[in-house]
Amino acid sequence: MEVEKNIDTSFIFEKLKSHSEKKSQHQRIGLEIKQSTKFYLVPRDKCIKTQYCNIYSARYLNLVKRFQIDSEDPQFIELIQKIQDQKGTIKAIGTLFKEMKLKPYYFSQNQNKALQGRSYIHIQDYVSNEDVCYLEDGSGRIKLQISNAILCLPNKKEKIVNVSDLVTGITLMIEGQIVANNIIKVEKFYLPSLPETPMLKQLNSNSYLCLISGLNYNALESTTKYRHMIDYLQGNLYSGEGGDIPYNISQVIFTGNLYCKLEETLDQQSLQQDFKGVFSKIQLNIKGVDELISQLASVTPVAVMPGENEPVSQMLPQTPLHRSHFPETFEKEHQLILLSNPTEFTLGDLKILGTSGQNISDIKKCSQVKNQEDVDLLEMTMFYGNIAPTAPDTLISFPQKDQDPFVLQELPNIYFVGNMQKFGTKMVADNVRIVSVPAFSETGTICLINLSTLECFPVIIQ
Amino acid sequence: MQAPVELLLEPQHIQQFQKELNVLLAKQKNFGGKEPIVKIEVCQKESIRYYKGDNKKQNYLKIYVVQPTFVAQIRNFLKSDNRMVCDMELPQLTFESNIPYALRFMIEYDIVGMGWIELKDYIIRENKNKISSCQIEVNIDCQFVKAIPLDEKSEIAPLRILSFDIECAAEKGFPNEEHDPIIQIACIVKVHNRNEELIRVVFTLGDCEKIPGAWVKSFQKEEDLLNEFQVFFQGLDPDIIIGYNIQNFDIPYILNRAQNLKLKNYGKFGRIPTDQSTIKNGKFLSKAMGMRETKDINIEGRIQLDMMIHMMKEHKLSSFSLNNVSFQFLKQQKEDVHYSIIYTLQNKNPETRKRIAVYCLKDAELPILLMDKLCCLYNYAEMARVTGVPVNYLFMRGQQIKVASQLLRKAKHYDFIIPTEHFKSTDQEYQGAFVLDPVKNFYKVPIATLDFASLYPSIMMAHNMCYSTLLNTSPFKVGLADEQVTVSPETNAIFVKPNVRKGMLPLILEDLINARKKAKNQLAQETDPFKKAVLDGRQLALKISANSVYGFTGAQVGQLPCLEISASITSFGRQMIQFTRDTVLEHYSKKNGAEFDAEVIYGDTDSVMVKFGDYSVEKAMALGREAAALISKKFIQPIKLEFEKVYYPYLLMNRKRYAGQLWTKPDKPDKIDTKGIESVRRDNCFLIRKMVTEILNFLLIKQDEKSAVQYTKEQIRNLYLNKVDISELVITKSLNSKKEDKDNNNNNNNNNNKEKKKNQNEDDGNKLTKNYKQKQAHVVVAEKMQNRDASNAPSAGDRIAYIIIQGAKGTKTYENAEDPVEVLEKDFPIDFDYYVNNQIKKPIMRLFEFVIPNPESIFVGDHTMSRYIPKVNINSALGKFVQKKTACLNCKKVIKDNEALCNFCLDKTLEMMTKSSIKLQELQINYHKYWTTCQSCQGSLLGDILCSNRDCEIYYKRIKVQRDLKEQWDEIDKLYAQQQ
Repeated sequence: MEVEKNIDTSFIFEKLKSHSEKKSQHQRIGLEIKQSTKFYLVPRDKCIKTQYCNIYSARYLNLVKRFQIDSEDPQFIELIQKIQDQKGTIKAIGTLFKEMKLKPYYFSQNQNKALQGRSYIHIQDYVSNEDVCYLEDGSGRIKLQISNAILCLPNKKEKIVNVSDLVTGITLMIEGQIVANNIIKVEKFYLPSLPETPMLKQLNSNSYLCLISGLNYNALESTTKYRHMIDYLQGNLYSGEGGDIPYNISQVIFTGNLYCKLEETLDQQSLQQDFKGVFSKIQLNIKGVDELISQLASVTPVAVMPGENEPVSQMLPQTPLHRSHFPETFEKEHQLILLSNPTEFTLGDLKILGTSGQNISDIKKCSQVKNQEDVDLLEMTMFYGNIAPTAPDTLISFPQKDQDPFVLQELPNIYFVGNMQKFGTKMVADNVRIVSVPAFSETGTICLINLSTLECFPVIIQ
Repeated sequence: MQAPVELLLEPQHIQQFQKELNVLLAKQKNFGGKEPIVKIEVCQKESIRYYKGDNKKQNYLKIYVVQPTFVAQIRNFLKSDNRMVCDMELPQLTFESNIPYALRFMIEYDIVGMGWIELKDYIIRENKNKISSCQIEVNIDCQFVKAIPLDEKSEIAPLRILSFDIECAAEKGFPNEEHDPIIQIACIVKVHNRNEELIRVVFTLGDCEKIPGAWVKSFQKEEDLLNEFQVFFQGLDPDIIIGYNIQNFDIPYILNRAQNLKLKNYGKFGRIPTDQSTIKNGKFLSKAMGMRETKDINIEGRIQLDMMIHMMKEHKLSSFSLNNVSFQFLKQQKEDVHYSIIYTLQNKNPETRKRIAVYCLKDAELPILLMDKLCCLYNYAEMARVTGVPVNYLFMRGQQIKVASQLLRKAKHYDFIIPTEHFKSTDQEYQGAFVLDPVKNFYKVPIATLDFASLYPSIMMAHNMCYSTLLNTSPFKVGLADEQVTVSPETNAIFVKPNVRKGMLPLILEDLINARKKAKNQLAQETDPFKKAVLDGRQLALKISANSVYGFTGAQVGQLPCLEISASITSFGRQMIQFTRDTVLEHYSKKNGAEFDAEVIYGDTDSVMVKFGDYSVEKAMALGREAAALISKKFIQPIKLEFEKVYYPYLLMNRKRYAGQLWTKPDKPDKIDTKGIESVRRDNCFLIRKMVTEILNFLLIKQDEKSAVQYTKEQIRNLYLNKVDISELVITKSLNSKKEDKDNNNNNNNNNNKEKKKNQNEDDGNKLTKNYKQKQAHVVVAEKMQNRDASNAPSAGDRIAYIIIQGAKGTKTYENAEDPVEVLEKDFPIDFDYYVNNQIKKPIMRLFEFVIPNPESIFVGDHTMSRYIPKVNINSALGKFVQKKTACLNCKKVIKDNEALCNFCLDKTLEMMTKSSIKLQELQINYHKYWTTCQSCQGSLLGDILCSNRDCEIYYKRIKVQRDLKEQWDEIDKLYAQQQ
């Protein structure tokens, strides 16, 4: 291929596209995405006056069934309020609440403001030594003393935990000693059992799912790496071992943060004056991403999820992006599916669950797990039976009336989380693959999963 | 009383006298068949009033009676015209005949309140002979009761403290004792000096789910609940009962409820089982609180400490609701469940009743936390010890009794006696403290403040001012030379010098001041936190006591007023301030070699503000110190002028109205110090308080006048553009009882003049203006709320929050007051002009008066031009005639209801969607922040937020954001839908 200076690049793209279309037509296997309605919002009229406590109740009711309890066990108390009738060791189930001194509540923020004059420092980390854990069910709340307690995982392994390892919103069973009025010294925590493992149907041929997160597209910076990525996916970049993989990708999913973060923070005050200028930047980014996706979607089915940076509703579950964000793609009638975040769908016979990363980042803020691998945190949310335990306490989320959509009702075949720091993958149970997908803008990594074997590997695009 | 001169002092004559007096008394008064007087003694004493020469002791009769109540009867008898005994006319004037019996006893035996005593030779009563529910009762002759000095034993006994709170369920309005039952009583028990609570109990009517950490006792009948509470109370036998507003609400309600339920033997809360606690309505007059109606409940042997009364006495706050108080002092917002919700919760199920119980327990817990935080018990105990009065006098009585107690003790020691005088209400007034006219300005040089330390006490000591040193004749008549007396300036009262006779008041003050020094020294060395709290309480009590002596001499309806003393004290004070000013001006002048001519820019009561010149803070401090030392030397000990602080910069607006940055060390400023500035007054909306604070920050810390003006203009612009948060505009006032309203209205019609006066009196008492001819905004709002939802209507005592909204032309302001929740829900337009002109303007103008040449200019100009144009509101009067149409988000063209953009603007979808989303995101973040804050404040993840605490700004924000978010989201949905 000859590339000369000053040649219109779109011409080259056109050429590449036609080239790859030819190749893909007979090789790529079409698999249909079927979204579940789980993360679609209920009509707001009914919900906007609903309070956050309903999510916690729904979560508790859902998960409490999943603990293995011996109803004859005299140490087990069904309701926390019955702790008074007990002495010595008890077992109880409830939702954990961690009181964090540094958490940016409304009043604490005001106080900070007063202290620091007008410059309000945003706190990135809420963990402090003064944090206290409570266990709560509908009947009451007890204070927990935790010092090197044992956390029994559903996979029969054990972990030593302290207050700083735990986050608000986890449903647990505790076993411990009553040490004072309403205070329990916890010896052991138990997590709910995992739902049944899913089936895995073998496909006839090799087929891949491609996960890409965190393009953080900024029109003002170099966009070469994005073009390389498209090239790769179109099968134009790479030949050699595994060179046929791109042709076997049946679905590409962009998991949030398509656009880079806005540098300007706009509030109601500055919105009127500064909007036009900011929008012109946003518009460039939207257009750039649209072009990329349009090219990609011409050869392979693409789906996009919104993330933290997208200019759409921020409350989890996030509503999908809109057609008008991808005018070119839709105009050309390419296959683009707009997903919610988190999203749950079936791809062929595979159950897939994914988020754009807010759930895990928030856990990082609320606990001291920084030296843990991202993929281990993903695994923990599986074990918690809840992919976003810190919602709605610190993770901004929609006030749900009678369900907690984040509770894991069944295990997916694939659970992915985007916008992480590092790539990582694990099998949590039979036929359950979890992947932490690092931001592409930082690492140049995309992830591929073999849909027959659930084998998963990263591809780094320079 | 003074012995009649005719009376011969032989024992037989005295006995005869006693007999005849008894006979006469029996004729006139009812003594229940007893002979009232048991003994009469002759003693040598002198009246404390006036210096009458050296050793002028006279014979006085000390009359012992059978029962304490007889003292007053005999005193009254002596006031009558017919007081001839044995052909002798008895003197009308009695001495020390109005002292409460308990105090009399304590004075006789040098016992102080909250002090320890030692008993010797006593017999412990057997259980069957006990008359009280105390653990131990003894028989002892009073002479074997011995006080233990405080320096030997200073700790406070491990007192049992019971804090409680009741909840009542009323279907409509505020609970009424006649028909609304008590549904819960929460109790928390603690022992003083121990950190952990002993028990928490809650008594509930109807089944209630268990609460971790508390005992729940449920009853089906209110009678059983009340009885069980009494049993619990008696069994617990608390020494101190505390709570919030228990004296005027909780305890009376319990007693009245029991009466209405016809419970027998109820109300035995005291330690004397035969005594039933009853309610006496009283009035309590004190300078600090004005006239209040109070209820006295006798609970023998226990101290009632109502934290609400304590807070009102000791602190100036914008609101005394438990919410606000706990936010101010404990930094805890408390959930506030409206009493109308309580009724609903009570009648639902055990789960909802538990909700009330948790809330009720919290209300019982907060007073204990407050008490600990504010060291109330320590401070009260030390005050009782210092002044010698029983501790409950401190709650029930004013300042006077404390000084009286000290004076009686001191006088006893020196053989003085104190006359019991009748109240003479005179309109005589005397000149108060001296205020040097302020030279109003904004000073950008350091201003040094010279203070007289404890001005009035030190004047009294320096000039030996006392009842017993005051002359009511000329000095030579009592054989004194001119140099043996001090003549006060202006008032010309004459006091003998200490070498002739030391006054009682100076002696008391000396004791107090020495004791304070000692306490402060000990405090500095002490490390044990409990002992520290005791000592700190003591030094504080000593300081307050020293300062209240002056007030005692000046209180016209007091026990022993003596205007000569009080007027002379202030005249000395005035003279000293003037002298200080003159000396400073003289000494620090260019004439005397100083670099600048010093100026005295302001002086008030005990302080003088000096501008030495354009010096550094450090230099100004040095000069201040020097001047203080120089001037102090010219006064008699212990008067002392002290240099404490420098203000730089300093904004002097008027008398008692200033602000400045305060420095006590030359390297960095301590804080901003203000006086008389609208940052705390409760009538003002939060916006003003915020603005004043910010402006002062700009002026004083950053010293940036331009930014201050800019900031102010920006705020005014925001207000006009409806960008100010509604919670910042809420004004609150408390509502008086409706009955009173009606009564007053009727009376007003019947008898205008008389009522006016009465009204005025009440006004002073309640610190509320009540003019029923002109309606008041908060009353109007209360009526509106009543009409909307009678069950949710406010009652007397509630604080009514309101916002002034735009009304039709010509309507009165009060007509346009509206409930903030209603304003939020119906989106009423706010009357910005009212806020700018009637709320903000005055205080802001005052701030800028001396800062910029033309402060008016802040209120005119571009920033006042653009106004928020409210959407035509279907809820407003005009709105009813208007049909609501949907407009294109971009070009405002009228379009169909389900559309967001008109056909021509469809290409703007992305832009509009982005803009809309940014707004949405901000609202979502706020929504999340407000609702999770409230969720965490209420202390449970799984319970609904019921709080309707209108003192908490978040309450309005929470409701507003709910509505705004829905609106914004609907807009986006339309955009999404239109372009599918």
